Amino acid sequence: MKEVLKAVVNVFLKMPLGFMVTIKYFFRKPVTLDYPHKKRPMAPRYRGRHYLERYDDGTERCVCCGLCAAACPADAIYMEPEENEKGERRARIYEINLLRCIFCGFCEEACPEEAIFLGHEYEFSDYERSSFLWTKEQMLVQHPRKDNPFKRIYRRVRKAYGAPDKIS
Amino acid sequence: MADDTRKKTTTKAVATVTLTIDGKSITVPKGTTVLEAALQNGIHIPTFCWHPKLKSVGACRMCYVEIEKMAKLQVSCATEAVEGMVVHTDSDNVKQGRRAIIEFILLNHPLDCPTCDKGGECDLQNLTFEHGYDDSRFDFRKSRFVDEGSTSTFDDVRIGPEIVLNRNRCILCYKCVRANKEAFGEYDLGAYERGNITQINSAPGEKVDNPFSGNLVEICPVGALTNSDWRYKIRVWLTKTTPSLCNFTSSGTNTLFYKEDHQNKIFRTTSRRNDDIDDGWLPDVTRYGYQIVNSPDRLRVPLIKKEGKQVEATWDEALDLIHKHFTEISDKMGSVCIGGLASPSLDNKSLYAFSKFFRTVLNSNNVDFRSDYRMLPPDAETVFSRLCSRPFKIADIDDSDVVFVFGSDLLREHPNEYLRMRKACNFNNARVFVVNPYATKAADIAALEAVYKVGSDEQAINGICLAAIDDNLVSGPKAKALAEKLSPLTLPETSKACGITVDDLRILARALAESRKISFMCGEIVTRSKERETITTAVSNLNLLFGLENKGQVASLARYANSGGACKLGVQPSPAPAVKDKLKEIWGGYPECEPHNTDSMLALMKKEEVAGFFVIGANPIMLHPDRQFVREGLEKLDFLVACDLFESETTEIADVVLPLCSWAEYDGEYVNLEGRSQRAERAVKPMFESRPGCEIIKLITAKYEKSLGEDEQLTSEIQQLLDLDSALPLPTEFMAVKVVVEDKQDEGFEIPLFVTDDPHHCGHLTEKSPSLTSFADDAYLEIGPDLAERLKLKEGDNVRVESPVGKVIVPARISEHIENDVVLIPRNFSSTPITSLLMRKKRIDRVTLSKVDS
Amino acid sequence: MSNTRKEMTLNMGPQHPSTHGVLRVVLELDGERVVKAEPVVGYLHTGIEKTMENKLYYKALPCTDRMDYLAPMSNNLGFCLAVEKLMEIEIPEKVKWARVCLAELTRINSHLVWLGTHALDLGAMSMLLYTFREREMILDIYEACGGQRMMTTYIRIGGLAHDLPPDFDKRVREIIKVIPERLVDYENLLTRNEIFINRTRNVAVISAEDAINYGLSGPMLRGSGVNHDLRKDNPYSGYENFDFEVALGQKGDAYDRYLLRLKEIRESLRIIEQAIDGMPEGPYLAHVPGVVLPPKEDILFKMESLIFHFKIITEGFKSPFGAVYQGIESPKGELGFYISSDGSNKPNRVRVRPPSFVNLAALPKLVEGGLFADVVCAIGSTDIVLGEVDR
Repeated sequence: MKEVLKAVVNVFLKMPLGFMVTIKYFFRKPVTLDYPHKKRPMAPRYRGRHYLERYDDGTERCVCCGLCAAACPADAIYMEPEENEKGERRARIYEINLLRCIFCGFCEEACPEEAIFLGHEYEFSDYERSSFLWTKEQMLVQHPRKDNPFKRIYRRVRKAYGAPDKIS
Repeated sequence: MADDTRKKTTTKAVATVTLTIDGKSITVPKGTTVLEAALQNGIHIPTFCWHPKLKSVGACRMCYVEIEKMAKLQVSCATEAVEGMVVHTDSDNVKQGRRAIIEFILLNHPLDCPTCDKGGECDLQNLTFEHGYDDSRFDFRKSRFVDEGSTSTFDDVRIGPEIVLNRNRCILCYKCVRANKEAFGEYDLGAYERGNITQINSAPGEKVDNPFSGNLVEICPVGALTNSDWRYKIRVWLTKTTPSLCNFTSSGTNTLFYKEDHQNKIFRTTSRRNDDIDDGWLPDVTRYGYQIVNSPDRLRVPLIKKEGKQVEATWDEALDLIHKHFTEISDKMGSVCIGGLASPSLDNKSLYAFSKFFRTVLNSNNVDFRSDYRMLPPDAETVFSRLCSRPFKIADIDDSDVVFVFGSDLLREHPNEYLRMRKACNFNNARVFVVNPYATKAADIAALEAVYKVGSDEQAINGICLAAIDDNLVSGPKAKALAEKLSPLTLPETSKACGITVDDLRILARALAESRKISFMCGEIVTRSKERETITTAVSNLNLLFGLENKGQVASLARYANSGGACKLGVQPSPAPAVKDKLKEIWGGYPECEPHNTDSMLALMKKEEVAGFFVIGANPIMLHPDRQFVREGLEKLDFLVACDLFESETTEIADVVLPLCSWAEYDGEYVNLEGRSQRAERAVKPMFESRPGCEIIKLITAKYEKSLGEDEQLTSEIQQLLDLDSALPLPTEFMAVKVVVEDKQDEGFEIPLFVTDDPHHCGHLTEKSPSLTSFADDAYLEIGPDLAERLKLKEGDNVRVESPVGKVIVPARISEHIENDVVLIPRNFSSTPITSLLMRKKRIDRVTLSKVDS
Repeated sequence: MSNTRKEMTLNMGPQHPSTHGVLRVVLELDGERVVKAEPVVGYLHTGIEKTMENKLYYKALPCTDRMDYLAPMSNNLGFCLAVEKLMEIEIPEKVKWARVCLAELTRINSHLVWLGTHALDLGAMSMLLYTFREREMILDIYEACGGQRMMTTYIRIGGLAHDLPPDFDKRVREIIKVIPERLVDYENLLTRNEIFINRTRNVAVISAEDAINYGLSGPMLRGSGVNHDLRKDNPYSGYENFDFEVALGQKGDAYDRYLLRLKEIRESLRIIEQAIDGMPEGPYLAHVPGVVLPPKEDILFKMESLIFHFKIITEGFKSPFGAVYQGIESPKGELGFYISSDGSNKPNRVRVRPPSFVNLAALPKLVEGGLFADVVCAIGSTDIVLGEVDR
């Protein structure tokens, strides 16, 4: 008898309490997104794919100093410098192995030339392993640039010379 | 005499002072600076401008210390330690002073760390990190040197073939200028302007291309001087270091390779200071010579000749072929008909295995390591080989009061000893005497540079002896004994014959007689001469007359990286008797057949009495005098095996070519000219399919189904030989010196030609090093201004150089320091076959010069 | 041929969804009763401790994110506090408050995931959806702070990676407002749910004595009524300035731990509220030349700053000789970092005291003698993260 009573209490008193919660959300807007068709905006600091910045005149900012590679905890960055025709230091090879990369953003912090940035793209799937070895050409931003994806970073050129101050 | 010894002892007991540094009581000789006193006792004081091998200038003021009872902070590198001084190196005042100096130095320093190759090993960075502060108060525009007309934003100026200068980064420590002047005696770099715009730069109109210029880059505490070699290649923290040795000069200069394992590549060489050998200075050939290891031109796979063409083959095929042909030859003609020539730059184990293979497996005595000496004597116990085996200590040059160089262009042959000689002169007031057939670069420090007539080497020495006898500088019986032996000669006659004035001869004689410690060095001009025996006999007389060996060292210096080891290990046709006995003991036998050296082997090849030849690392066609003779000889061979790093004239005509490892690719030991055995470690994996010399020989031995022994066994055998004192004494009696009248000159050929190494090159391999070829990439004719004027030659004119047997066309290069009618041509470039001008039986090669009109 | 053995050996995991990762439990069953349980760990061994030994101090930090990936900020905090203790770095007040705020958010984050998955294990499907919805708000804050939703690496040696985002205050207050409402929903769903109660009451019980003997910590320990919380007992990062209660259980069963964790979420919200109200102004990074990177603006204009930046990035900083231990109260219990230094720029040894690992050790005690189906409940209520167990 007691058990029957308990079951009745359960079914008619306790359980509706829970069902009320779930039923409540029938009438709420869903919190989920229709993902591949709709994408949520990423936070300004989001650390996605890497970009290599240029100066306003289109020259690469990267001087291949190696600090990003030194700071990289995953040893994902490989670079070889060279001397360009003007006698300046530039990257001949600049590769990031996205399979190794942990997107910690240390490279961005280490960069003394403000050359490397982590952008907001995060969809990297592909069928080939080799396609995850990103080269300099893949990472350089377009020139002329359509929009500036890195609004969060102050974007100034050095006033003390040393690195190019030609555009000051 | 008694007075002298007393004086000596009083100067020996040096006065000392006792001072306190950081609470530690320290006793140092009087005259020591506070900085040196501290460093000697393990107290670290940071410096920029101080260098252990240079005089201190106190330019950077980083070495501030606080000395009690002195009002201000003192620069310790320029403050002499005084009795009772109390020094603090770590007080707050000192720390503040250092911080201020760092701040001051950084005022105008550009923000170049990201682009600067010094980043990561920069003294300025390190000391700023250690003693500075991470914020700056300087908020103004920095002063900047801009190269006019440059579109680059980097402000780099190329001031030499290798050296790039960035004046903005310079902190004006003057180390480079001082080293150039004090240590190398070069004046192609200087400090110009004053104050804020002081700049280091190359001398107006000049390039910094002296043979020691690489050191300037190494001692630069910042990235102001960098070189193309290391420029924009790799960051220093990605490299690992391996201790190694110089494989070109015979001093065994200690070096450090910076290598990267994944790329299997060496990126640069720096010095590994060894005060007994190199003082931390590297000649450029040592510094940049490593580049041959990385060269893409390296031989990759074994080649074998098939139907007159060399085709790629496997190691096994090549080794089988060698075995087959060598067995055929020994079966048909006897193993005496197989000869071998090894490079004296190979390591001990390779050389020993080479000799052991020939003597125990092939049973032939025809092994040699000397590929560029004409008409070598067949016997081991000549005065010449005695002189070559005499002990020599590089560090002993330092405190010699007389340095005597005879028949050697020291800068080209022995750059380290050249620097030692300069050091002895500049720092220890030694007197330098140079006796040469042509004036060399050592002239500026030489107390006397005597230039004798070409081909009268022994007369010059005789002249000194006679001058000493004439001046009664030596004891009576000795003088009498020698005078007897030299009897028909008189001083005036000899002076006339050798072209050195009597007065000069007297000065030389007096210097030798009065010196208390002497370093007497003979060089290539003696050793390469056909009359080397006569000349060394004269030197031996000189030694006896003045008792030189009792008060110093007399030696003919070994020329290549392991010439010393090759001698000690008996890689000659007739080793020294002690070596021969030891070998007999170790091997339990020794071939009794007649030994032939390189020269006679080549002669026998022409007669088809030597049919098989094994060349490892050497290139006789390029280096042995008389190119045609060598080539004909080698072409007549039934079977020629050549192992080398690169394709060469010799490998071109070889039946089997094997790729050889360079010294950076295996662990090896090398014996330098002092007889000191040193180790060079393997820095990189063997390139392509190349193999070390020792391994190649072992593989061939294996084809004979024999063994040379395990590695440990070889090592212990080598050690036994190295431990052996195989030096032969110089003769203890005066000997007659036969005066050689030069062979009849060919009509019209009058100007003596010396074939030497370029100061930036050594042997036949260095031309594969891009950095070294940026200094000199092809042969040139070095000529004195007088002769050039008479022949109406200007710098850069193409000159046809003709000898009775050949001719080449080379551009002229006028060297101010050559005063007499001599011309020099470097032999290091395969594009210009210089040895084709030489005749192996001539003592002096003479040529005619004529301008080529374009 | 008859099987005479009474017990059956059953292999649970390592791919079983209810083992929260790759835990393998070898169970010996007598019918439905568990006779013996043996957790087998190591399937997710990543060598994080060893990896950290070979990295500069600042480069070892991202490794910690990947241990307890549900509470990345706690791991960051523990490691940074340990290194700061080793280097004797004074931390700005603002950083302390921000860190407390973030650490408590992390606790909520972790507990929400626990709640969702635990309920899911026991059959309450919708909990997971709800808790993850709330967790998303916290992840958004993570993303706004550090740029990543899980591997934030936001707390750094000497402070924070960036200043707190401009809308941090707003977002956190939103959480403070929303979560208590949602907690009511959860309670409506579970607290009086008969099924849930049946599955958790008197299941996976551990007595206070046993809990102490097993070295348990966190909710596992407090669920048995032992008042031990490092935030109170050994305050770090300024926890002594906050007023909060330590939630305690009584019986030490799974249901108690459930209630306790809900209470902890509420207490965390209290702490967060205090932190956000009292957040002082100031720098987000300590100024320690040679250890902490100089500000990015400076390295573009000041030579000294550039040199320090360059040297710290390439060579790191040299730590003094010695060893430190720093324990923090992570959502799962006492997370400790032991760092021994040989004076070089890399740690000589890093040892992590992972709460999940220690708590997992008590699993046999929790399940032996119980029903087989309750193993799932026991594992769930222990709240383990295999990334931390195996490291």
